[in-house]
Amino acid sequence: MNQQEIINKKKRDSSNSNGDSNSNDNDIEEEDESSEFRKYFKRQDFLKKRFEKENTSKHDKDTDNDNNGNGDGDDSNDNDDDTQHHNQEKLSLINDQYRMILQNHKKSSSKNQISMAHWVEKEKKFNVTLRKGKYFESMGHQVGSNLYIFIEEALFLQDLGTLELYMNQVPLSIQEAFKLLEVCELPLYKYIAYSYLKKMGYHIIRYKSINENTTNKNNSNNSNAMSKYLDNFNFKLLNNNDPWYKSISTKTFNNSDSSNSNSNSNQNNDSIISRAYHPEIIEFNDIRIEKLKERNLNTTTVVYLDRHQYPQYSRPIIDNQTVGYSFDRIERFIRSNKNINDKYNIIDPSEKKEVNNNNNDNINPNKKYKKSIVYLPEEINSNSTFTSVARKLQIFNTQSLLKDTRYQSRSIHDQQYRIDYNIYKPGGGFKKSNPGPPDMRVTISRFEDPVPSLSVISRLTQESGNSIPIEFCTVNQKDVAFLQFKENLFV
Amino acid sequence: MQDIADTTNTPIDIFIVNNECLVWDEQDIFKIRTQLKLIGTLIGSLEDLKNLSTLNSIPFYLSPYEVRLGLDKGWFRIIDESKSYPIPTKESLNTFVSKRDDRIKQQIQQNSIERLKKQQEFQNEDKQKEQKEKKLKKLQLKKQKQEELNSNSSNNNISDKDKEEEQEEIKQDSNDNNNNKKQKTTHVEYINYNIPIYTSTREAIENEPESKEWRDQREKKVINSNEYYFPNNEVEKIKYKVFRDLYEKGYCLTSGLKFGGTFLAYKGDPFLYHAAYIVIIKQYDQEFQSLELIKSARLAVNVNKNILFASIDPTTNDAYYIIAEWKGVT
Repeated sequence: MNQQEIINKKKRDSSNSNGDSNSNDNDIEEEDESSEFRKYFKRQDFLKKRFEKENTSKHDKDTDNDNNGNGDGDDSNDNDDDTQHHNQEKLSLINDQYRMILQNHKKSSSKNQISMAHWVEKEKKFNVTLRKGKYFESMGHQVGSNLYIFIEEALFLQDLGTLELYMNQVPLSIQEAFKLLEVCELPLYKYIAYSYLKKMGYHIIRYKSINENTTNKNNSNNSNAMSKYLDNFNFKLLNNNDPWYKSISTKTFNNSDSSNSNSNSNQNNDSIISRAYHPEIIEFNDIRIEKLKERNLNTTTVVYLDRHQYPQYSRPIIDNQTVGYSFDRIERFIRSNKNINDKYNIIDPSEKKEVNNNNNDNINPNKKYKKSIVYLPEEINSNSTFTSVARKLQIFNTQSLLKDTRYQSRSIHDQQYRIDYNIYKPGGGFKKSNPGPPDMRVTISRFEDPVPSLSVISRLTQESGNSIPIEFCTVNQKDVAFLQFKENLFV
Repeated sequence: MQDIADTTNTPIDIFIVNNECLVWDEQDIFKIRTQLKLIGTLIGSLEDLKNLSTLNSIPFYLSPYEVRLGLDKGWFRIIDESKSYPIPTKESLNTFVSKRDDRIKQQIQQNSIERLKKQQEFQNEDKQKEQKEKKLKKLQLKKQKQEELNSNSSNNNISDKDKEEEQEEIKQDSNDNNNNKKQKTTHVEYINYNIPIYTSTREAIENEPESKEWRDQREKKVINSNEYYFPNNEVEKIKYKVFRDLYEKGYCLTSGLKFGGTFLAYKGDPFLYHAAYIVIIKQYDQEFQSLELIKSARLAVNVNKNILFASIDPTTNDAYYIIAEWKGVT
């Protein structure tokens, strides 16, 4: 029997080495269910026994089986009678295997390995009354002296045959327990994703929302992780002791006129309207279209952004004294050369004030936009804004696009996307009582659901914190796919 | 197709949980998979490979397309079990517990008998081995001694002593055997038994007939095919129509998540063939860019498949298909 296997292996190897393009196909195609069957029954020696019983010519059969594994769909078109016959036999064989697998569903464990849990109607959880085995080292949560498990944990353990579930002092069948998913309002696809990850060995804990204790710990870890992350690059994060640190500070502006208390003198800057402070993403709702009647009585339509709708933005304020270089000089220089002014569309701040005052009474968007201070020359990079450049430099703290609170608040499918689980990598060292920050978080959705919008992504990333990635998990039937969105700062 | 006709008389019961449909009966699943050619997926764990995520067993999870098709064809009947579980009376509980104990006792007895047999076999083997080794050693010793004696001019007395020793040892062996038998009888009360967990409710009732009282008490509503939520909107309707059309043309269909399509279409049973097409469904008047075409065709050629764009003409209700076949690029 060993000889046969060796022959098969050789054939597979040779077929892989022959066609480079085909070898890729094989890798992908091997994931088919039938190939899983083949692996399983090879282990079980089921295939061989059947071949011995029914056929004298084993070798032909085995080779056919392998051809099937290579999966050239075109071969099936060249149907001879023989191949059809073979296919039918193969199908009946595989069907038998399928039936075997169905029959192999029974679960039982010895008395010494099986745990017990009772349904608690109030909590909609199971209370573990008898603990056996290692599973509860990483599963369940303690409330007082009671150990509770959620429905997905209960179903998972029951499916493994290591936990007996009781309802009204009577054991539940798996079918009855599944219906409790409806009681707990947990969709089936989330359970499928959960059990998949669990079977891969990950430790999974239900995610608790921000309000609870865990976030404080996470924040401190975030900053550490962030500084570590930045050490790998040429950027320099300023320490508190660094003299430069005092000279550069950031100021956050609110969209409303009531600006932060940081500096009263700069309050007027809030009214500066330029490309630098445009929101980086313009949504349709932000855009105002007005028809203006000018003096000539020609109506012109003006498309503009309402200033009051601007999101928060931040820019650095540099203290002249500590830096030892006066920025006034630059301003003076700019003022003296009108060419530069025209080229970069710079206006005098004093002019701007007047504009602002006028605007308070009558909104004249036309004026607003023609005269704006633009710190970023249009020709340098048309796509970047002041905040985006600052964010790339990472010298001072700026708002990330993904942290923008305004986009987080706007969500079309608010209920659909939320963080479901904290996930810890497999292996030892995991403590249920003190798990620490998770390796990743996961949000689970169906394949049919709409793609998460940018606002959803930004809201979830903000919620999760900087250092912990969020995996968007998509479930279709049994297939589970993972996606991760990152803001790329270095493109 | 004849087989399908047979099944129409008695619809298969499928159970709804959170709008998803599961099948729990072994025979039903086999029928759906092999005769109706609806692929579905198994999501329970296998008995001997519990931690394997690739190969699974009961329950069987039907996609909404398959459920709708089965409802339209009259193969399925959706059953909604009630979320409240009836409380068994004290009497029935007592009988259940006592019967369960009986079953456990039976199991223990059986186990102990089997265990005894195995132990005996095992010990016998061991004994035989030990005895053989002993004999071998003795023979070697004898030879050595004899050689020594021969060299030191022989004495007969010693050889007699050897014989006596042998006899004694044989007696001891027989005594050991007797002792072991006594020990085994004390080991019979070694208690360990298996607690079964039943997958389907029907299986539970078959194995524990006493539980029928409350398990059957649960209300079971039959859900009309109109009440099933799918297809919910226009896009889903188009998808379902294409699904049904391809199914009736003899293709087997599974989900296309792996290859970026709505479905994967197989020319025969997926056990035998690999998917021939990645089906991408568009609305009839939907525009899309050449980039998308290239993307999907390029992906398909890498996995030895073709792209099949499908849509339904809203006026005639006919399905139309376009195959995009990648021929290469400079």
